[in-house]
Amino acid sequence: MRNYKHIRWITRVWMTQKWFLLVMLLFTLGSSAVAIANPLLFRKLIDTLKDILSASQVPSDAMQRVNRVVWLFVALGFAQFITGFYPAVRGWVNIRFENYLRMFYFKYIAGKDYRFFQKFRTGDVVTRLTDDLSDYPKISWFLCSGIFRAVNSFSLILFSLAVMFTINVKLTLLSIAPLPLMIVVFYITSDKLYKNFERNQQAISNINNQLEMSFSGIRIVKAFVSEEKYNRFFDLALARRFKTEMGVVKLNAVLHLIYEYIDYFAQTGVILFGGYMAVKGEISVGTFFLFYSYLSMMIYPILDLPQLFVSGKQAFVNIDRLEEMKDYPSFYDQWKGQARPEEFEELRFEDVSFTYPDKTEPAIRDCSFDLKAGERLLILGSTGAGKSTVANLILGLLQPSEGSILLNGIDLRDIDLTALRDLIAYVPQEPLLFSGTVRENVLFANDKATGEEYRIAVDVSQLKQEIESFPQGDETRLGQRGLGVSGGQKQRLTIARALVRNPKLLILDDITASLDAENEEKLWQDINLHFKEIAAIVISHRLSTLHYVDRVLFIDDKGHVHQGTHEELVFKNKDYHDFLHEHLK
Amino acid sequence: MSEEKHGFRFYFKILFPYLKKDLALLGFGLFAMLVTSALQLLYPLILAEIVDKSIPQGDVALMYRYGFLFIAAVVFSGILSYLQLVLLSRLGIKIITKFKARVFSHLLTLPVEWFNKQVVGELIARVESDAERVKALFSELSIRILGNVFFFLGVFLVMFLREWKVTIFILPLMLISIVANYFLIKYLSRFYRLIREKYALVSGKITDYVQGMQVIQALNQQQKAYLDLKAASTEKYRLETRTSFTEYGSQSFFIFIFDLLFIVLVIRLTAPRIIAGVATLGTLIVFVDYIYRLIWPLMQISENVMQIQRAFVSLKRILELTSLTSEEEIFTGTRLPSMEGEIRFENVWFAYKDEDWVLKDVSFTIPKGKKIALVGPSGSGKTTTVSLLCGFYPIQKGRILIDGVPLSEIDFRAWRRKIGLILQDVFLFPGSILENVRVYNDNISVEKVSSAINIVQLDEFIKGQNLGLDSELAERGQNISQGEKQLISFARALAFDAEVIVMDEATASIDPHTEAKIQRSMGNVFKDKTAVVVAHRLTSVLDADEILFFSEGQIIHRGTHHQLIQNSPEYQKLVELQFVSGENAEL
Repeated sequence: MRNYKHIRWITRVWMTQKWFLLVMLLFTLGSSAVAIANPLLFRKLIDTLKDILSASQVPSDAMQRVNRVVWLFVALGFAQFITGFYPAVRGWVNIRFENYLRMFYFKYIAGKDYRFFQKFRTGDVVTRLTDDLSDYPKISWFLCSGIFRAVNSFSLILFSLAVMFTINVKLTLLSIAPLPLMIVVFYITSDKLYKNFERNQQAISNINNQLEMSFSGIRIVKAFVSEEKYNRFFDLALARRFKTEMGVVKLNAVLHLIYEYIDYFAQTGVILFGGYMAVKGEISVGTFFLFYSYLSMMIYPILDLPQLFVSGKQAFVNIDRLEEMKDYPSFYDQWKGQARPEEFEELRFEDVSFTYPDKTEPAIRDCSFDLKAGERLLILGSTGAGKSTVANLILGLLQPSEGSILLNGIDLRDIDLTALRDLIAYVPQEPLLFSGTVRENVLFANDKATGEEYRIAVDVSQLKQEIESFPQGDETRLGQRGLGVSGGQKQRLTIARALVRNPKLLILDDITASLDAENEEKLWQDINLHFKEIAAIVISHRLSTLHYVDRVLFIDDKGHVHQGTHEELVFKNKDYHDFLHEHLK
Repeated sequence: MSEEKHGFRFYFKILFPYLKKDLALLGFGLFAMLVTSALQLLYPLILAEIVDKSIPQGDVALMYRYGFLFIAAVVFSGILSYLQLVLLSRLGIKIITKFKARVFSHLLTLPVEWFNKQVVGELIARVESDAERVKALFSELSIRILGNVFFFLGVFLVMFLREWKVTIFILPLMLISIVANYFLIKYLSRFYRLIREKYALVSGKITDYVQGMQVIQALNQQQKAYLDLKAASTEKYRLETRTSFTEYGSQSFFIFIFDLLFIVLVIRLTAPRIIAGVATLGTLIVFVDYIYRLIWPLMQISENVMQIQRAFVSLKRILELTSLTSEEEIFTGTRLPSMEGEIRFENVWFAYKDEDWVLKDVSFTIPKGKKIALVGPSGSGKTTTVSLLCGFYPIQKGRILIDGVPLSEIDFRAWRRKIGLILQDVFLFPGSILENVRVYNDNISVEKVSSAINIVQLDEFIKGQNLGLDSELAERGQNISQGEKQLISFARALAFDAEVIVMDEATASIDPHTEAKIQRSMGNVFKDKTAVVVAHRLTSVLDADEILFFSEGQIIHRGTHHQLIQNSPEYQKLVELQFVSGENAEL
């Protein structure tokens, strides 16, 4: 039942590349046919020569007879040249699948909600879309190479056996008699070996991880003058590694040995029985040589054949891992809102509660507040009180468990997500930039911004001077292998990225780390100057932010919210008063 | 050419000491390899004897003698190969392990300045992978190369002896194809590198976009991310396809040459001689068998040569590391420090590079037993000051005096021994809690560590671990909270009996309970000690005997909290901002 699912999946994927299926099949059979033809020609050559030699006198057309066989070799050579491209085609199709699958599944990931990203860590998703797809023996490899190698092996064995049986049934049976035993021995040992092998590899990579971590604390090692003593750590780690690695070496040696010598062992049957029959004149010398060649040719495909199931098992796991991501539910799939508001008039929370799926207590409960165009609201509350949750709810990144959120009087669920998000600019708590230049990062969400808009966004975010100090100005590369910028600079870049979209509502999720008081003041001055009408929600720990907002939304430790001006709350709300007091201590 | 020869001798001199003890092992390995190569040559010869002698003579007994000789040769060669593989690999791993140990211990002596320029996490991985490549020199690979070379020579010797007229035609052609193959692989290796880069690019983009998916969604940029990734992925696909076709295409071409050219050549040359009765059928079989068996080793030779070249490149890189200047060579002071009076910075100037001054003419004094807090905006030079105090960098101008003795004249290790450094990001070493507290320094006894743990009130935490002090901390300390990490770093300073505590306070906020615990522990750690704290908490500045306010590499204000709050508007603002207190800054 389970396997049918995988086979259906494989069929479905192959159906996207129908023509390649045919090409692959032709190539595969062709390559097997060419491979078995070669020993046949040698048999012909040897027997021809033998005939010539056994004649009482050398026939006059001797060399012509030899030449005829030689021409066959030439013809076969060309056929071989063409089938030589078979692995290339196979590799090509593998890579096609890799590319196709990566993009196919990434598209689904782009449509997942927060629960998905909570469940699957980034590294995990990356692995599933890179390592899981490429190279031996992963799914893309299996889809083409895995399957067709098996077809190739199978046809090769079948063709050789057919030829052998046609020539001499008795010798065929005698030659292949030892093979089953060899195969069984081979599988039992190699299976055991591989298991140990993997365990050892795992141990080695653990030790490597440890070594890799060990230098990050160099200042501590030096400050505590433990350089020489710290060698003890290396010696320990290296000694452990030596031991595990020796284990790997021994296993490797055995595997190597099996592969190196198995064809000789396969040939012993032919030498003993075939030799006897040749001596007795039951078979020709050419036939003897043919069997000798075929046996060494067949043995690797025979060993390779069950690989289909081994790599298949592995590939099925990869399939499951991909499908698991695709099938993970996302509430965006049900978000079918149609309304497309173009202005921000009013945002209203009505008794909104939200509980994270893995929690029993709601993050916010019965939250009601409103925000009008052009208004500024500060959300205060201790760490983990649910401040970011409010921001995420507004963005449609979360859906309220109870209650409703209304934008311009329309329920959020009835609004088109893209249209909703076009109104809002969001600066997340954890500044996240993408690989690319400063300019590309700022313009990430709005390629069409004018130079003027770009300049304003950068100025308002108080980045102008810093960008000028970067080695290549706003063409400086950031992110992986780029310039390392400080957390504060990162966050201000994300502010610029948000502002360049010309939003109607700005949400700043805790930007205290990136701006000192002076810069914060400048930021607000500049916002007032350039984005006069903008409404803003600011999440902050810093009380100085109170200067720049109209009202406060205070979330207490139990998730209840209180809205009002700072003065109102200080005098009327004990929790708020206590909270401030606590923070002032 | 001559330079390369010199290079080889140079490397040999470096590697030989590692080999010396195991010369006998090496000798055996080489001998075993010679024997197995020779046996490889024997198999087709046995077959030829059967074809040429037993079959025409109809001699069954002779046939069986040859048959069993074949089996015996295979078994013997198998055993020998196993021994050779295991013994020589053991030798290789042993050498590399010693080699790594030497490299690592040298790295530890390098100055902090050098580490600043490295991506530390990757450093070891790089050393590791370079060392692993060097290992190729001492592994199955070099055995195989030598083995293949011997096999190749043997094949030609046998062929030459049997039919020299045929052989002299084939040899030059074969040599040409080896050289051509070598250049091809060299050409391809560039593509492999490019593919790896593209692959890294693709995974980088996926990492970026998956990590930021919610941001991307909030910004409505899903399509953009999709297209961008698709472009990168497709580029990789194209490159890989092209490489695959070049690789297998040319491989196919070589096999074509071998199969067609050589085989046809052998047949055309040998057949008339067989017909004339000069050569035997067995000879033809031997030649054909040899040619087939040569294909793979020959194609591999080029690849193997490249691996060896890479090994030498890696070796060179590693040797470069070991020849870097160590701290001993930079800090040459020899005097033993005393810490009875004061630490004094006198007009200190410092730049990490060139004239990019991070500290400009900084002077201050820390009397023994006093607490000094450094405050100021980030990037103003506080952390640098602290690093200079630890003697991590030589200063360019001015003097740092310890009881009147310049730090540059003091033995840097002896000075650091007096310092207990507590960093902002608490770093945990791989290993147990015990080793983490004593930084693998077994001069610090277990009792000492226990009492330090006791003072910082981590007992409970330790008791909660199954193995107590010997419990392993999981990777990057995930099984331990931020606060506990901080406490461990306090324990470190205590266990080492530091006289001067140097602390870069963490900015991250911690829950009030742990905060209180840290506060209490700090009290214990700092008792009767000289302390320099880069302060991020109000209590730290309140406790300080003097506060130094840094701005752009200079001290612009100094004094106690109360003095500064009255006289320095910058300080007022800072307190208001950094220490989370609005209107009640006077508190």
